Amino acid sequence: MDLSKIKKHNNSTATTESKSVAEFIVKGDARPNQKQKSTMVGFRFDENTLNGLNKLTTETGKTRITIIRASLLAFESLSDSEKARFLIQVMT
Amino acid sequence: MIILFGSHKGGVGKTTLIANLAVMLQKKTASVAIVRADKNQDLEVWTRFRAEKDVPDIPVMTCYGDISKDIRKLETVTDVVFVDTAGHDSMELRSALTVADIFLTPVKPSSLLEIATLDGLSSIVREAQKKNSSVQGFTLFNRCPTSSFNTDAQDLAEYLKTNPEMLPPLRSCVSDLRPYEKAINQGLGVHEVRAKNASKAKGQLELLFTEIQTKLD
Repeated sequence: MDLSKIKKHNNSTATTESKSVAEFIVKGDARPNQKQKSTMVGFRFDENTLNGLNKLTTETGKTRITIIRASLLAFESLSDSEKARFLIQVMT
Repeated sequence: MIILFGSHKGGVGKTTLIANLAVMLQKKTASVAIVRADKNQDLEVWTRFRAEKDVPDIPVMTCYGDISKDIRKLETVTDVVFVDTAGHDSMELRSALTVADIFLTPVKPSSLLEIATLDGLSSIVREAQKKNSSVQGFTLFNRCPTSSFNTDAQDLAEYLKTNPEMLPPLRSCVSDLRPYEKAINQGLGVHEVRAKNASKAKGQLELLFTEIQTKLD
């Protein structure tokens, strides 16, 4: 092993724009952002649906929006025929 | 010369390799320093064990955040600076990449969990090369089985060579030899212990460093 070959670093290394270097470095400590942008929307619920929603929030201790999001996930997991059955039930 | 070790997984052997290589170079009368940029205590413990032995100190400097300036400063007073970063993406890894000459990521060729991290890590190194055109990145096969029947290293080398975005493998491999760990457990390097297979371990490290030097020629 020839140690005389150990090279000193060349200071003229192409380190371009300090801003882009700083951005690159800071990204190393970034954590995955799991929060998504939300939008304000308004719905009208009939009394029965609203009562059902309020009952579930009381039972679970979760917010109304959490119950709605969970319901959406549950609906998405149904088969097409099951989806149709529930849709018919709420439309009639 | 700045040699940076990084990975996207802990326990791949970065610290063990750094300590062993630092001892080897110091014994060859090169001046070396280690930058510890990982919050774990491994290097600190190794240094403490080392202080109890009749062997020369190896300076270890602890730095966090943007460590590029600290590394540059150390480089002005030493021949080789080793940088040990945590086993995940971090500011320390990225800032060190902006000043390093060589980046090495150790991987056990039979570990799919380790291999799975190479893609993301390679992307970061490729991005860093746009900021520091002189940094060269390589995959270092570490803790390889000594059995010649095992083809994991061969298979991984072929995979890496056929994917130009991945960090290419070094020819040198480091085997899973007991002396590496035995030496570290005593605050030493393999060049400072007498043990079965120690000369094989020494030879592997010398070949590894010679190959690194040729990359910089």
